Amino acid sequence: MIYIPLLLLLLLLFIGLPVAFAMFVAGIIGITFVSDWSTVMGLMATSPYRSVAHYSLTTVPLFILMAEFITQSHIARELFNAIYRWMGHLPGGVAIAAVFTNAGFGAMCGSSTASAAAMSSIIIPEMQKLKYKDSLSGGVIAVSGTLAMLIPPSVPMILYGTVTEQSVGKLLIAGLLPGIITAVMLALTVVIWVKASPSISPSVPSFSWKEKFESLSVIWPTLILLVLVIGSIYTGFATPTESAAVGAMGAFIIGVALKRLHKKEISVAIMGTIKSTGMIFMIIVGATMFSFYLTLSQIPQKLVSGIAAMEVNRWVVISAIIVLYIVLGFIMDQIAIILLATPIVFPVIMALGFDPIWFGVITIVLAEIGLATPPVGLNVFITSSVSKIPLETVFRGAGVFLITCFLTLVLFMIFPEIVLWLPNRM
Amino acid sequence: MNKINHVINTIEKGCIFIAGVLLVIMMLLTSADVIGRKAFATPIPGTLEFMEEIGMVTVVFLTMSFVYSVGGHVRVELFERYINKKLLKGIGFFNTALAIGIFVVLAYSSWTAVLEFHKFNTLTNSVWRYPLAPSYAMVTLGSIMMIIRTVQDLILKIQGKSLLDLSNKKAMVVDELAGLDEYYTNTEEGEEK
Repeated sequence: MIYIPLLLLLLLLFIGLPVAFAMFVAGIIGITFVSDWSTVMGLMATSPYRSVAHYSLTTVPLFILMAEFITQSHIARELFNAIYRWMGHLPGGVAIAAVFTNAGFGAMCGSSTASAAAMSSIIIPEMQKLKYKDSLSGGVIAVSGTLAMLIPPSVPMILYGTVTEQSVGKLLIAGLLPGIITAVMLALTVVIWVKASPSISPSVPSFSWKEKFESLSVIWPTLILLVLVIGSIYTGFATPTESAAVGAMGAFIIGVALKRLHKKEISVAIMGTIKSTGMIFMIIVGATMFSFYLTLSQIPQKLVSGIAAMEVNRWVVISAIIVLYIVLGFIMDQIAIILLATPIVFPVIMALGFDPIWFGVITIVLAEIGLATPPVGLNVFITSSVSKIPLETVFRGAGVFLITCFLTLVLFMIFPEIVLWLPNRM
Repeated sequence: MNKINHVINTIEKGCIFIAGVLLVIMMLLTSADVIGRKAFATPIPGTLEFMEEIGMVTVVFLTMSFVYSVGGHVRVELFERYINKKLLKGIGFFNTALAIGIFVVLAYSSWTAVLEFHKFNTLTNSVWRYPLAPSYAMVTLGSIMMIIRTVQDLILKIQGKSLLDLSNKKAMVVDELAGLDEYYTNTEEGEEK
């Protein structure tokens, strides 16, 4: 009987009720099953408010605002031009520059979709002009755009930290090294692909040293924001919320100083922030109600005891969890997956003795994969719609880079030290 | 319907404006607080509580109906293509009715909390000691806005129209054009057509 709300949740998701509302309804019915209606009313009176009035979650709208200001300021174009001048001559050089531009942009903006949209409009026309094959152009932008989720600041990482009550600062920093390694491996994938099939990427002449150094003079906004956000969190100078506010402020000042943020752009940035914040927090409110049902019904504890009784190797269990996340990634939004599955899966992870910070990074890598897998790979849809490259072509190109993403996932699983090295030094 | 939509839009526009201003204040206040604390050892008292109890609550709850009307809430659309049109229409009614139900319960239950906080004059933990009831009232206010929007959506669905048809225009305007006035002018013109 207590599992009926879980099945109801799946049914409501299946019939297209917004994820937030589905979790709300399933939570209410679940609490009524396990307790009574007066408990529901008592929780409804205060829990939606309390789930929003949460200081660590104020980081979310501020990082989104920062990303919106950066997107409206078109800072990414200069970053790409500089990296292109340094790497353009390499095999598949523009695609490699695209990977590192996405990594750099990801360090200023915690949204993968914003990253994919911005890069599709800036880099793909350049690649098409140089006669790069569309599968390479679309694939590299769609997949490397997901780096924004892993490299701090990362909105999904903040949500994971809040749900699991882990240090958001440590989680954000934990994503840095895996993000850089993933970027390097994606760049290597470009090189291998181009070596195997030279026709997909024409060679580009090298720039002079003067041109290369000149290009560095315009990437100061990126460097300032990197120091403001990542530097302040890592050194403990500011909390993640404070660094988000200072980062948003910095992005705003840079945008205004560069004369790219006017009334219109500021208005668009604020509206975009309100829209994304509202979407995320409604899921949080719904997930909170659903979590009360999970807590009262003790389903996670029963799951933990059931797994313990099976006496299977912990790596078998985590492999099953990873498969579950990948399957969910085929059909659901990444933020919804984190808020829905983490409360159920996290007690199991802790009971099996895995590190919670490490699992946070694994969750985000899985979310990255979900953003580029069919049928609802959001980054692929965005890249295709902005660049007008057919969807199938972008999916085909993304498939090559997804192999690399799976390899990085295995790497981080075998060597958790890669993930934990930086946060353990904080 | 157009006049009602105009009234709803005007109220919603006001809510978005307040939320937008508070968002900017949150950014400025937290930046000033961290700079004040680190550089002058003078933090701004009450920043944390302001962020939680006024900033976040207003930004999220007052704009719920706007996010709903632009189709901003994520949902699984994958299986819709396998469901026949008639059934899909019925599911649309059911989902909207369910959303109305959720927000009726939320409006009622949050209002009981507002009354209780008002009755006992519950104050915030902030050094400024302001009453907590108005902050909780944001949940009620946002829920009432949501009820109005979802009922409007249901009526439009019965008439064979959809709030989402308007919202596509809204989303487009939000992303590609700019400015609150321009955005609402366009949506209202869209409905009149």
